[in-house]
Amino acid sequence: MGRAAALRGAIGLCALMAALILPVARPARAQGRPPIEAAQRAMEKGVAAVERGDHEAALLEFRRAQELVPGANVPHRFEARSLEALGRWAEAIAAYTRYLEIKPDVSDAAEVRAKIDELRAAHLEGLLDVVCQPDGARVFIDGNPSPAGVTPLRALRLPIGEHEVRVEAAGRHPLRAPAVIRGGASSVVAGELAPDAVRLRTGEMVSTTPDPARGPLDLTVASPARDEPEPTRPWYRRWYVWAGAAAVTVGVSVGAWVILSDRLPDTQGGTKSFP
Amino acid sequence: MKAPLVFLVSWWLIPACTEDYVHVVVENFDQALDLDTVQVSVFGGDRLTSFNYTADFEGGGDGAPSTTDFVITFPEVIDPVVDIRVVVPFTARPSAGDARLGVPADGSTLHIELTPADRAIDFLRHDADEIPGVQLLARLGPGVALAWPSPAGVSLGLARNPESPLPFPEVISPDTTASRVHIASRPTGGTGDEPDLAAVTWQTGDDTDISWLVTHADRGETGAPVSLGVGDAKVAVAPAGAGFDVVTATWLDEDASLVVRTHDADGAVLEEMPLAMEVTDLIGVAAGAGGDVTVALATEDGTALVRLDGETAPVERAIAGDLRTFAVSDDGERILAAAIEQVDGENVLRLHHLDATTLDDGAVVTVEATPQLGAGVAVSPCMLAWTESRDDGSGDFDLRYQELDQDGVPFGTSHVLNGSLSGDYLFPALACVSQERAFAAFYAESDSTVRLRCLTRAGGERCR
Repeated sequence: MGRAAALRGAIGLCALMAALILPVARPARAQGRPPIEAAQRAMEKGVAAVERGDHEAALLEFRRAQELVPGANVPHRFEARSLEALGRWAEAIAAYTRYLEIKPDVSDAAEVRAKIDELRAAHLEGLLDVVCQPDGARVFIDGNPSPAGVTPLRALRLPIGEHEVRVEAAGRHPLRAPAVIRGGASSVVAGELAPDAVRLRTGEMVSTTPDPARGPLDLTVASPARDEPEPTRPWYRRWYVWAGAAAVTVGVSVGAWVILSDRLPDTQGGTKSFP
Repeated sequence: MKAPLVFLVSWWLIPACTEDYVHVVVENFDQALDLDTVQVSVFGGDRLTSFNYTADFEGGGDGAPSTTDFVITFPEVIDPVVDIRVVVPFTARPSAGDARLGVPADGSTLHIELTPADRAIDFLRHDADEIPGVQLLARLGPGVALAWPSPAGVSLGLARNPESPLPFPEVISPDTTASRVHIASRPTGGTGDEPDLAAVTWQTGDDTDISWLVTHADRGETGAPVSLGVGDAKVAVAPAGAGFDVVTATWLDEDASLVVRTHDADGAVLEEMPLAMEVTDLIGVAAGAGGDVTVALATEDGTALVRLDGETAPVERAIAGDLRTFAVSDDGERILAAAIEQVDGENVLRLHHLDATTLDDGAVVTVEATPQLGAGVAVSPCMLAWTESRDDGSGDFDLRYQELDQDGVPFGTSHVLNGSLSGDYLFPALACVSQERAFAAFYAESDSTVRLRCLTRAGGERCR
């Protein structure tokens, strides 16, 4: 999550936290005040951790705030943003969802719902096209008995991961293929379903089967001629050029060190480096 | 391939022999430091380097400081600004100094002056799950008064000469569950008079009541605690001529509204001024010499100052960002309101100058600071203090302060209030005691102590 986005979300933190936490805390005032200040402190520490890019530490603080004031929704939104920054998409969606569940009519509910949809579409789901001949072949996903559609099937939304695609058509051998769905990306399964029988000239129908027997391939690669003369090396590929340059440089460096090393002041506390 | 690598490595040797560095000279003006341990911390870009050495403070006398020195080299620039802190801890009166350095330093010489460091006053008691919301310090008499929740209850420490060891504090309430202890004293309007009255408030452990008592500078008279009977209130002492001694702003549970009451020193209510606003947070209150009252509060729309006088309609002025605290200038003419805003993704600390009577906007001064959003800020007529995240990778908070001129504009260089770098330092409070002195009190989370530090004002005689 960008620094600007994190800090923008923290503006008015105190007022917002007070507005959201205190209405929850006030009914319990007679039994003792909930640790609102500790929750605010945890949120401040979480925001500080976000500022320095330490989202893991920020998550600890936001979750601590949730424990301290369970009725507050804001810590869940901050948690979601840090989870986004860490690429933990499913958890981020869950945190955003909790944020909305706690206060469904929150002012940015529409924006958060759109964010959930965006994350799901970008990271948890992908699209599959199944383009096989003939058109109209039925497409089954992951052994589901009901077809997902018929070819050409476009933009079928599936969860990320590996899926089995099976395409069937009458009079054709079925086609089976794996499809790996990546978040926010499209995959394609394409092919042609072979007919399960052909008609010969004699009119006879002959069943078709895959022919596994194939002869070995003869891949003969011509080797380069060995008697071609070696090309002349350029100067920058001659070892003695660099060896000489290195010797000169080392000599200059040692000389510079001898000359310049005594410019550091002699001090009581000595010399330390940072970092 | 190896030969070009050798050539490149040898080219690297030349810059390595001419490292950037700074020569740090630590200056001590007051103390008879001789052979002492000096602790040095250098940090920036989330990195920290610390080391100690035994220093032999040399020279000094006739107004010149005794000095020790060291060199810091910078083989790489990981942050364009680096903090250097120096502490001499193992003496009868520890001292500390700090500076910020732009890198590369180009072999420059940096002078860091040691001043008396903060010292612990007492343990501050608080529940493990709660952060104490305290206002620790106020002027009283020629010196200061401190109040805090202590292991014994609520403690009050009066220091006519805060540079000397404080007298043993008095326990003004044995309630060991009391929290949110605040102290405020009578503004003197820059007359040079000494505040003669301070009010201490605290919240009972069951959050149902706020008690307050007043204490007089001559210490012969301390009022009995007065119960406000409410759960959340801010209290201020009025300046002379206001027609009342104490003003309270009380946040009512039932409808989140505010009621402002004026009282005499015995607690009797003199006037009541309800404020029909839906308040989400009560930030502070102050009284003017004309009997008017200014309240800092937060609503759903943001933070604001509201002025009431019981005769005319309240005047409200929205303050951009998150208003953290405010103070009345010495002459009583202006209000200095400190707010933290977010500008281009960065936290910015701004000091708003408003007319104390009309709340009309005046100058808005941006402080050279990187404040922590939502954290403590203190403002007084002569100084400003705020919380910053320490850039050593720890994420802990430091307190920084800067002096204000007569017009309430920060000048000079900001420095650090806390001498050490252990844990968080929170809840700064300031008291401008004289033209030469100010004092700061704050809370050190690492050892749960209240700490007090003397601050020398520009041109003033150095703290001893």
